[in-house]
Amino acid sequence: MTGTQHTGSDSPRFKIEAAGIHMAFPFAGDQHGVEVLSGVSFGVAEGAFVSILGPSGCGKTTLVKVLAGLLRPVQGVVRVDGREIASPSPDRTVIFQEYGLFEWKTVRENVEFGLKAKGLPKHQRREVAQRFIELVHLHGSERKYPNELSGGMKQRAAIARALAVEPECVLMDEPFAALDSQTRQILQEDILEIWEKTRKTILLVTHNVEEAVFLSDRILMLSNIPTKVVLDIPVGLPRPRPPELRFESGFRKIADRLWHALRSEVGHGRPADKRGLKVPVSADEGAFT
Amino acid sequence: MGKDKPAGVGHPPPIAAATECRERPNMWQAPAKGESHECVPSRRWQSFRIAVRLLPVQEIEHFVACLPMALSTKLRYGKSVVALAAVIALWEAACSMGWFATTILPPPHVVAVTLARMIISGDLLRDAATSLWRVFVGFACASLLGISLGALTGLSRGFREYATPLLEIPRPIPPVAFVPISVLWFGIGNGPAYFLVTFGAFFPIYTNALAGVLSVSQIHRDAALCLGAGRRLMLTDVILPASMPYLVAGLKTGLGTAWFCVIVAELVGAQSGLGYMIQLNRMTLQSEKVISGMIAIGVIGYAMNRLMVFIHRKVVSWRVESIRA
Repeated sequence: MTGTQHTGSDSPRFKIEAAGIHMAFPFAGDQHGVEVLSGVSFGVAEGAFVSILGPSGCGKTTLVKVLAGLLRPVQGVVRVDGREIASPSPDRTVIFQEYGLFEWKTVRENVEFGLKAKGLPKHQRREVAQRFIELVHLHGSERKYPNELSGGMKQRAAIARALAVEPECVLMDEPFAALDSQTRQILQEDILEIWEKTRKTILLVTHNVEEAVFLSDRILMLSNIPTKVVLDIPVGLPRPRPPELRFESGFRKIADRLWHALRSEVGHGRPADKRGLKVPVSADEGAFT
Repeated sequence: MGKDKPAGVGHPPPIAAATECRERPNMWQAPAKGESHECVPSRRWQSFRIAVRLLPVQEIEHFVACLPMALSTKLRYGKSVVALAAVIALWEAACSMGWFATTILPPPHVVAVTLARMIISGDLLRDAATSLWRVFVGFACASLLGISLGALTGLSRGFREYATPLLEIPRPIPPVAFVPISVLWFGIGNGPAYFLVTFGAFFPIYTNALAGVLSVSQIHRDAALCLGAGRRLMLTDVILPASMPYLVAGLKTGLGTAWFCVIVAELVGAQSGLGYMIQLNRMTLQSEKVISGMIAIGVIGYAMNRLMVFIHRKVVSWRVESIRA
């Protein structure tokens, strides 16, 4: 953190706000490291479903970690309700691409974990966990271990776990990327249903254009590294959104526009991509010379 | 039913022919011409046929059909029994042929009798109990030290930097090399055994505990932090269970080393226990007692290993391999 205190000075217009986030990873052979995030700024209104779309390897996961408080940015601040964050908190739970379920715990124990951290008594934990397990349609699998579940069920369990602590804001880091396309579509529809029921602020990071358009109110597009927000477009499609929406012209129009922007970004990104890849290699080369 | 066979061979069956026609010198020999007609079904044969009809044919068929399966599961143990029996037979043969002096290598039946006598008299059990107690004390110390130090080095990078060279240099020293100094320090008795067992069991437990803590994946730590886990919950619900597979593997290896070390310690630095017992009997040239003691050491070591394998399965039942197994 840069030390500048913004507490209270800004009116909390946004639930979660990123202000000029710079992030660089130190690599051997490069004094300044590789700059991954280069002044990412945006704000998300309460109860909104916002997607962050970016080309592969643009530092999306890094951004999620910064927003969650798992990584400290080199520069810039993240504010929740106008207050600067300093550490991870159950106010902002994360849903990971690789689920991150505790394999030694059953589904129920996984969902109860955050409640245990909150200090809820056992019977209350059980009750709350059951409610969220039912919300993600996992009843009947409460006593199964993650290794006994399919990918889709694992992600459902992870969603239940992230929601059970009643967070202000849910950060999703490519939550459907590891799933097959059928499971992905069903889970997307379920996420919409859950969001309409709970009205949490959701920030979804994805590289999938259709997914972003189908789910969100608003889409932020990131550039290649060093990453910035290059596009910020609202998605005016009506809700609730049926699965058939994917084939309608309004949907296609937004998707095509994003595809176009993304394609040019991926094209532009090639030299930068190479640079990002080259750094560890040069470190190796350094070891031999 | 061979059509071209001489009449009378098919009926009455050869069994009856064999029992009734005793005058024939060789029962497998085909009957001479005209002879078969003399072998009429006797009363005994008829009662046999009735008995056959009364047999529960279906059950027998079922039994016979199931036999190969039953045998193959039995055979799995059967094969190891065969191997063991072969070695014992060879040993017995070598002794009875006089290849070895019986004072040096007594035959297995003598060893078996000695072993039985030692068990009945309670001497063997007393020695085994003494050795096991030493293992218990030393192993408990080693577990306590190994797990706590392993966790500490795993969790704190600063501590790791301090402790690693300190712990890595004594590690390659075989516990046996500590026997002289441990006798010097602790005299004769339980002391050297406790020390050696602790020293021997410590390293596998410590290295595995460290590897276990380091194996906790970043995503699990991140997930726990985002869900609001404090230090204590992180330790009890994430780091400890996540490193459990390593931890139990370390304890298993550690227990094996502990058993090994206690025998070594007792060979030199004790006046009781299985190690001392075999050493004492060597001096009095009672090799059957020495071998009986060694068998006991082997069996107890094997049993301890099986116990740890069982515990391992129970504790990390959430792992895919152990769910399927």
